[in-house]
This record gives sequence, structure tokens and C-alpha cells, in this order.
Amino acid sequence: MFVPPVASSFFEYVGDNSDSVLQLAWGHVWVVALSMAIATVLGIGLGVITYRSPVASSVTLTVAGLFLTFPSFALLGVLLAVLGLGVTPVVIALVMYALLPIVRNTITGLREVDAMVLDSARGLGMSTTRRLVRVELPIAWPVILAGLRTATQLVVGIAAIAAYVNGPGLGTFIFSGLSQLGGANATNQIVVGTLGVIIIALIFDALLALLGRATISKGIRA
Amino acid sequence: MPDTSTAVPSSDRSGATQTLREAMSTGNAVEIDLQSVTKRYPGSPNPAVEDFSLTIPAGQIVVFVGPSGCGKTTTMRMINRLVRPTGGRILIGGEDAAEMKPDDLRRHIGYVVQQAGLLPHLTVRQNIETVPRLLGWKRDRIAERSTELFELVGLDEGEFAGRFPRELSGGQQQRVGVARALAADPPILLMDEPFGALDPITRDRLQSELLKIQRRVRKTIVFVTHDIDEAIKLGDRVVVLKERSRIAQAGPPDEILAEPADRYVRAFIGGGAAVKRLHLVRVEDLELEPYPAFTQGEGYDTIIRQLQASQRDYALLLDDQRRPQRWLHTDELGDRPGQPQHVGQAVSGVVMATTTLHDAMDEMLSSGTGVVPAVDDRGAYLGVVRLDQVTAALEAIHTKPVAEQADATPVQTLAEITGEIDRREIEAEQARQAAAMSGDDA
Amino acid sequence: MTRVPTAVRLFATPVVVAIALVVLYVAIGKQTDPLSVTALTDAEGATSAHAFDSKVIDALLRHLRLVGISAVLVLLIGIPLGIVLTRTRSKIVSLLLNGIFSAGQAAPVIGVFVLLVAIFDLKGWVPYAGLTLYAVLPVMRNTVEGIRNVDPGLVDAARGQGFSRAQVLTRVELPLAVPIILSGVRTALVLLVGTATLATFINGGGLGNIINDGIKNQRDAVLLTGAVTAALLAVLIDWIAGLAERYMSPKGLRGESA
Repeated sequence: MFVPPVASSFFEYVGDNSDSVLQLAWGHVWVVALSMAIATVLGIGLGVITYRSPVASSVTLTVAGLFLTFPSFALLGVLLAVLGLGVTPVVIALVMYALLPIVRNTITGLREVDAMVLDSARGLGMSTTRRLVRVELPIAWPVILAGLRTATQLVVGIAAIAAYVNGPGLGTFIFSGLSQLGGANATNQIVVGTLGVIIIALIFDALLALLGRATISKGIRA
Repeated sequence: MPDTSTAVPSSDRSGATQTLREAMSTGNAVEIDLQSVTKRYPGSPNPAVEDFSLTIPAGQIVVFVGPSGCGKTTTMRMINRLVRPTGGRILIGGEDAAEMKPDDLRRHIGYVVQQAGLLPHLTVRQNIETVPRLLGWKRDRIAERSTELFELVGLDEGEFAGRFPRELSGGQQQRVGVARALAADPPILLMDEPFGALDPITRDRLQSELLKIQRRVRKTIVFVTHDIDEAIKLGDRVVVLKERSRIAQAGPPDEILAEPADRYVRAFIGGGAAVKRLHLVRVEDLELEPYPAFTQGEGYDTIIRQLQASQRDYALLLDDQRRPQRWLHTDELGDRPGQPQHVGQAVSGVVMATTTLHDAMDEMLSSGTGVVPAVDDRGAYLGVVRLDQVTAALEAIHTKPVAEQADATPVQTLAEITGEIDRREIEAEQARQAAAMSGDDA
Repeated sequence: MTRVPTAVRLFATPVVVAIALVVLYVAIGKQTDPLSVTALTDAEGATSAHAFDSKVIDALLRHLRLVGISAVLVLLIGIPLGIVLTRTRSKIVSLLLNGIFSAGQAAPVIGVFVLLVAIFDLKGWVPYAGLTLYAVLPVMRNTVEGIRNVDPGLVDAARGQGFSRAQVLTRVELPLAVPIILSGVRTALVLLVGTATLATFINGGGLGNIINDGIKNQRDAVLLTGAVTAALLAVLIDWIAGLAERYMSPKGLRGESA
């Protein structure tokens, strides 16, 4: 039966278990940060390599889109079957999900760079690499960053499911609450897990927004 | 297509006494009377339109012209209540527009906007039939009307009816826009910079066709533009507006050009007022030169005799629909009686009877011939306009002393005036958006 | 874009899905050694491989039922709600809206599911409610976005022709928003197939049951059967939704976006 969580008892629960709350929250942050770092390098890299070729970019986008179509529980299951329990299958799964928004926005951003701007950069005598680093990527950066934000939101949520296959993170509270449904602290656990994930997602988003403020040229800020 | 000369004279079709309600069923033009109309946006210190009074006679084209942001569009949009006035009254056919249901009112006022504003998911036919459908016309009547409209705006029904707007050029889209606005035969037509986004050649052609259409339909047309040349070419009356939509001068275009009321109007007209007045004279106002012309079927002897009698060196070769094809010199005719379509020089351009002398002069200068054939609606040969006829008309204008005033260097440049107004425009635009957020337009 | 023949683009997906299904069926069928069969049947408490087959089919049908009913609810709730939200110009509402969207996006599905069970117990409708709650967001958001995306000049022109507000909505705004709404529906459908695998945790059944059995009993063959079937279902539904997106958008708009 539903036990209404009395406010004080919820905060009491969090206070009493602050150690494990912090530890699991840290684990959650850590696995997301690691996956996003890998996905960012991979995603921007794939975008930069493929954006000039319609065929290559369309193939990349189709594959990345396919990853995102797979149900997360099913993908985690398959990776578990192949790699066994632990962090590795979780990180791989999260990277796969994060890939599409990052690659797609990288390609879109790079393609949207004004041809006239590129032409004048060429006119100034910039090499292809220099043009990419000094002109194209800075101009595409707001779009790429938007992709990173979308990907992070997605990954923070999916990481909660990872707890079921022994991944680290706040999902542990949710599944623990589920297994003790009706028990004294079940609801508290579920709320801590769910709320914690939301808060982590919002913090990540805020940090990326700040990063945008710091790194997007004032000249192209919307 | 009925000849323009057979169009019913306006006096038979319109009258100031006719109410909009009556006019709705007949399509006859009505008078619009704006009385001290004011529009204030909340949060803006100055009104966008201040105490605007003007009578727009039935069946005439009245052009509001002024720099962007002067309130001319807002003023026009109050007529169909897309903007609700905060003061004053608007009488349409003697009836207070505020007392009619806005949607109903709008269904009886044609509305043409820049970029045409066609619904992209509907075909050309569906776009044109929008208002008749809203009005619940019978299917047969709608189909019949569409056919009329396609013909009126010069689009081939078979070719264009099933197309989507994005498959049309800008000029074609705007033709559809005009057809849509005229679909329910409204007594009034509001046009908001309809040709502003078109290239100069297309714009010119559509302007001329609008005049041609107006001869047939005789609507009361309110036309908004920032282009003084367009205003002069199209307007029966031109209303020059300054900020807050205050009237700097209103009158027939000739009067505005000849006697600008003040510095502002003079600056707005800019240089070359005399040349601009060539907009006011049309090819049909001249006595066309009857150059010898012949079709391929006619004998050469006849044409050579005609040429000799007329003492001219050139004759025009026409096709079987009497459309000018080639200029032929007497020498070419005498020597080679074989294939006239392969000798001489192709006719590079023609003007219509309704073309202004300004445009006719353009045509002559660009073709470098000094003469240009004039044709009727169907493209059939009427006669020839010579450059010296145009210069004679120009001289006639110049002899009016007032015209010189208009050419004098303005004390305040247009840029200065519009710069001032641009700042106001930003204010007004902000106010408009603020008002839009609060759900201003009824 | 280079032109791939339309037929190939249209039918590549179902062909690939069909091949994958055959491979899966053959691979599972080959698990003929007694140990594996016992394990399969043990996991299901059934007595034969045939029983396992029907178990998978039952789970698949249950999965489709979860997705189908939730999808209908999502459309019935999401589109009208999206329309209502565009009818108000209040800043508070749009702020509230953004809050709901970003919090909703950040909320973990599994947390929402389990919380619903904690509050309402294991009632039969809870999985549907959870799925609907989760998938309604993209449809609602895309409805709002699609309508807001309509060129204000077109709305103005339509108002000028004498369309009433309701007519502007039904004849201008909604038709023009269809492509964006459909893409939201497509997102929602894929999301539904995916999240429906989590219904197993709240007694909702579906292909999640098979996956879960495989994980709990450490039988990879069972796990893979459930996971691959769910993945193929998602790909297939995405393909169907893509076709709908392609052919249900107004003709005059097609070709504007790739």
C-alpha cells in the first residue's frame, strides 16, 4: 500500500544515508562524465571526418540513429551477454546513445558555416586544417554544444537503468526501492534515486550552458 | 478577354452612397472614410498612427507612400481591422467598420501582402478558392469564378491550377495572390507592398497589369509602398506620409510632383521629378505613328508602295496574329523578295498602350532604337512611339515652372529624414510586438 | 545527398529486419544440446522449446499492446495539450512549459515507473500510465514547436482573407505543423517500444520479461532472444513511422526539408 512520504522522514532518510547517497551520486556523475568524454571525442571526430561527404555522413548518421532506436534495456542486455557485468558494458551503451545528437549537430553545424565566410578565409590564405580549427569549428560550436546538452540529458537518464546490470549510480536506489516495495523506506529510496537523477541532469545542463557562455564568441551568440 | 475600352464606366458601377453590405453582393467599389483614426500601442510614448483623416473615393487607387516605419501599413491594416484603432472611426460605404464582425468584414476586403502569403500546403487553385469557400459558395460558381480569375491575372489555368506555391516564381505567386484577393469580388482591395520583393522587370510588368485589371474591375484599392515611383505610376491619388502616419501631402501624383507641399515631400520625391512625371503619361495618350506594317501573306508590291508613300525607310513585319516580328529596311525588301522572316532585324521589345512614357523611354534606350512598336492587350500592333515624342512630352512638363522646384536640391536629405524615422520604426515595432503578445488584433 | 534508388531506401529496413529474425530463429533453434534446452525451459518453467517459442510470441504481442494503447493515449493527450499551450501567450505558461519539458526530459523512466507503482501499487493500468506520461512529451513539444514555426506572415495573410481563429488553426497552422508533429510521433513510438521493455519491472509484461529472465538466470540465449526481438521491433516501428512521416505530410510541403 502507498505510504505517503512525510517530508521530514524523507529528509531524515537522506540525512541518515548521506554517505551512500553521495557515493552513488558520484558514481552516477562519474560514469556519465566518462561516457560523454568518449562520445564527444568520437562524435565530433566522426562529424569532422564525414561532413564533407554526403554518403559518409549519411551512413554515419544512419548507424548512430540505429543505436538510438535500440531499447536501452535490450542493448544493456546484449552487451551484458557479451561483456559480462560491470562498468564496461554500461559505458559502451551510454556512448552509443550519446553519439547521434553529437554527430548530427557537428555535421549540421559545420555545414551551416556560410560559404562566403569560408571563401574569404581561403582568400586570407588559411590552410584546410587552420580553417577548420579557426573558422569552422568556432562558428559551428553553438550547434555542437546543443548536441552535447541533448546527449547528456539522455545519458543521465539511461544511466539509471544501468544499475540493474551492476553499473554504478543512483539507479541502485530505484531498484532497491522496487525490491522492497511496501517496505518502510521503499518510497524514500525511489524518490532519492529519481530526484537525484533529475538534479544531476540539471547540473550537467547548467554547466554546459556556462561552458557555452564562456566559449561561444559574442559575435555569434543568439 | 473583353477589351479594356468596353469596361463598364466607373460612374455606373460605384457610388458613395452604396453601403458595404450592398457592395458585398455586387462587388461594386465603395468609399472608405477614415476619421481621426489613431492607433496607440501600450508602452509606446507616441502613437503609431495619429489623428489620420482621409476619404478614399470609390473605384480609385490610393497609394500610401512613406519611409518604412512611418505607420502606413498600420493605417491600412486598420481598414480590415487586423489592427484595431484606439481612436477615431472608419466608415466603409458609410457604415462603421467597428460594427461589423471582423472575419466577415475581411472576407469582403481583398488583402494582398508582400511575398504573396500563399498557403504552401494548398494548390494554386485551392489558394484562389479560399474566400469563396469560406463564404460557402456553390461548387459550380467557385469553379466558374476561378476560371475567370486565372484569365484575369494572366495565368494558364490548365498549367498552374494544380501546382503548389513553391513551384511558382515570385511574380507568378503574386499573380495568384492578387487572384485570391479578388476571388469573392470584394469591393475593396488592400495591397501591402505587394511587389516589393520582386525584381524590377517583373515588378514593372505586374504594376502595368494591376492597372489593366483595375480598368476592368474598378475596385477601391488602398496600396502601400515605400517606392515613390511605384506610387506615382499606380496612384489615382498619392498620400505622402511622415512619422506617426501624418499626411505630408495628398493629391493626384501630378500635383505632388509639380507642387510638393514642403521640404519633406520634396526630399521624398528625390531628384528627377520631371522624368518621374513621364510616369503619368501613357503611350495611349500619344498620337501613335502609323509605320507601314505587313503580314507575311501580303504582297511585297503593296508594302513597297506603302513605304514609298509614307517616305519611311523601315517597315514592320507582323506575324499572323499581327504581333511585330522584324524591322525591314527598304533595301532589303527591294532586293530579296524571298524570305522576309530571315532578313532585317528582330524587334527587341514592345510597349503596351498602358505603358507609361517613362517605361517606354527605358525600352527605347535599352534597345537603342529610338522607336518602339506599341501593341494592345493581345500583342497586336497599334503603331510606333518615337523618342522625340517622349522628349516633347518631357519639354511640356518642364515648361511648367513649379516643376523646377521639385528638382531643387533638398535642404534635408531623404537619408536624414528616414534615419530619424528608422529609430521610431524600431520603437513602433517593439510596441507592435508587445501588443501582439497581449492579443491586440481582434 | 546522393540518390539511392527509392525502392532500396524504402525496403532496405524490413528486409534487414526479416533477415535478422531468421538468423535469430536459426541460432536459437540450434541450441539443441540438452543442457541449453533445459536451461531455456527451466527459465520459463515450461517443458519444451515449443513452449518457449509461444512464450516469446506472447511477450511480443503483450509488448505491441503496451505500445499501441499508450501510443493512442499519447496522441489523444499530446496533440490537444500542445494546441492549448500555443493558444495562450502568457509568459508564465511558457516558462512553466519549459520547466516541465526539461524536468520531464531529465527524469529517468525507470524512476517514474517505480514511483507510480509506489504510489498506486501494481495496478494493471500503471504501465500504460507510465508509458503515456513519458512519451507524451515529444508529441506535445513538437505540436507546440510545429505551430509556433508557422510563418506569422502566413497567419496574418490568412486572417486578412477572413479566416476565423479556429479556421486559422485547422486550415493553416495544423496542416503546416504536420511534418513536425509526425516527427514527434515517430520519436514517441520509438521511445514507447524502448521504455515498454522496462514494464517488466512493474509487472507490465512484454519483451522485457524475456530479457529479464535471461539476465536473472544467466541464460544468454534467452536474453538475446528478448533483446534482439525488442531492437528489431523498434527498428521496424521507426521504419513504419518514417513512411507515415513521408507520405502523410502535405504534398505542397514535401521536398522542403530532406
